[in-house]
Amino acid sequence: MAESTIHQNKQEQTESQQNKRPDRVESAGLNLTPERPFLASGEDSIEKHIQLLGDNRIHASKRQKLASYISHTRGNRYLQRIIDTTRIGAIQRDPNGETTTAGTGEGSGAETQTLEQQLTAAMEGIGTDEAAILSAIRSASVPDRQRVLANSALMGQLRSELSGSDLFNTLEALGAPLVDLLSFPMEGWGTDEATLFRLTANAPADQRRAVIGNSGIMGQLRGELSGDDLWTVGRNLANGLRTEEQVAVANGLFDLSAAPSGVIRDATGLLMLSTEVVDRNTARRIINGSMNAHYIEDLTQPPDPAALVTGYGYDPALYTVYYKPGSTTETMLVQTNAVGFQATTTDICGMRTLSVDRWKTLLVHETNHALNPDYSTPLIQYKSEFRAYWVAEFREVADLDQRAQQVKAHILANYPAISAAYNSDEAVRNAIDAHTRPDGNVTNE
Amino acid sequence: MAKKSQAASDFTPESAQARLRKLVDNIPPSKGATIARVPDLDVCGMLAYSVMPSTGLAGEVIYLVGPDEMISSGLRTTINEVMRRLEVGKKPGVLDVYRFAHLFLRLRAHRRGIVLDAPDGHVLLRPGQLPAEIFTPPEATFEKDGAHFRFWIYETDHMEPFYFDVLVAPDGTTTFTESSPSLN
Repeated sequence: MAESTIHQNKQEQTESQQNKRPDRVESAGLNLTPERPFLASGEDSIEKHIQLLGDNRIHASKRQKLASYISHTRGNRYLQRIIDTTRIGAIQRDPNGETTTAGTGEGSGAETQTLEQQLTAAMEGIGTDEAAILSAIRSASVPDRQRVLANSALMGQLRSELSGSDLFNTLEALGAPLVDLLSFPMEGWGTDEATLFRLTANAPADQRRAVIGNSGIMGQLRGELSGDDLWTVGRNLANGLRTEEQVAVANGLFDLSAAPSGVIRDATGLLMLSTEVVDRNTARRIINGSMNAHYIEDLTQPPDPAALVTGYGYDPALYTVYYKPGSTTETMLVQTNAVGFQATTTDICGMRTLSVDRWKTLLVHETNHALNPDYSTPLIQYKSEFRAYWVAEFREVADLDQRAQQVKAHILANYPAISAAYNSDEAVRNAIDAHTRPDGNVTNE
Repeated sequence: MAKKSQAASDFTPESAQARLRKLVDNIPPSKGATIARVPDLDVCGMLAYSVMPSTGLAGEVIYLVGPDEMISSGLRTTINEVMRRLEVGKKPGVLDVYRFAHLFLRLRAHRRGIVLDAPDGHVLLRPGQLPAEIFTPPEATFEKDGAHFRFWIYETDHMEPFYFDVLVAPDGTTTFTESSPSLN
């Protein structure tokens, strides 16, 4: 065997010298140009190549050798033009890059084959022609592509024959679901954020739902991306989906464990996905622990709170007492049907029964107060409430002048200390009337 | 002309507030709370004050202070007493629905909000949040069992519409049901 091989190589070498092999040799000898077949000469025109490759009288093996030579000396596109013209059929390429023709000439052209046949032909033999695969897919109709996607045997063959960007391009061209595509841009050392953005932005809702339900892919995204990149992918995945699905996106991509589970965590996740900076800053404060959110129902109470409240002259059905978060001595008086409040400069409390939308505004409102902690005068208190309602509860009022009027009316109706000053002090009244836009920290940064 | 009692002759907003301050500061979680007049809740010759502790609106108590008495929204019976004195359940037309709603919401329901005259009657109502087919305009009727008040509000604590159906019996006893299309 060994002798035979040596002999064969010597024979080829001799033939090669006779045929004046071209000087083109790839670097480091890793990709040697195939020897020039006897059919070819260095000056052959495309017409000559078409004629030779389409000539059935020439043995197929010789034409295959010529095709391989043409591919390496003139390039695949050139060869493809010849093949398209001669209807030679699919091209096969072995792992060393050698190209051979397949098919039997007339009648074996791509336009007469199904997509499945074209793909199978492109994978026949030792190698696979990725360009032919892509070309065939891109020329195929959507139903044809879908039929291939549903053909598990063929898809398995494609996955076996192709890898990396070739497989990704093929799957994307076929219209493979997002869940099958997303891991490719994250392969290797770097992450192709632009492709992730494009894929997630263009995927239909049902494909995004499949990704959201795939903890492996979601974990991979979370591990590979951060900051604005992670946010962009999260926004794309959640775009237009139901609230609970958006919550699932947030839970899959962000570490929300600092927020108590349930509606607070859901609201924090939704704030993280928001387009509003003030929302994302609020969520980050919850996540990094600079603000703490609590369910009122989970706060600790002093012994026998009902007796305490009764002693204060109140009905325990209407009021109760809790310890301040982190304290076992300081108590807070709270209505039993309260919505929420700021317990300390860093602690926000709200009822577990609140909606996720209300929790979102509550977190933004109370965080804004925490970051603007001065309440020393009624006017300053007015500005604090104005700012907090402006960025939270009343933000949907698009007309800013109307928003200012609505916020002012709300504050004067519900904050007696402010309205008392407004009604009794002309300077305060003038200052409040003139305050039509928020000042201070309005981004919760 | 009847001679005023000593307490009545000394009764001023300032003296009333000083008495209230003394009371409130003896309630540990309310010590140092903000006290402010709420003139729109003055009723039955009593002055209304808001006592707002550290928990803000979530812990607010409304006090009605008279020359010889102080009653608060901390008790369910306070609204009954106010209604009894006003004879709301005995005579028709004592309070219109808006005035009643204001007193009821602050003194009994512990809610803040705006009575809605239309299903889109508040700037913060989202489309469909209060379906037009279930909305009814505010109304006050007087029947054998007392005064009925039915009204929708946009409640600015939950930021949701709520419906209240309130009956004030002839003796002032006030009972009610509440519902919300979003929360029920």
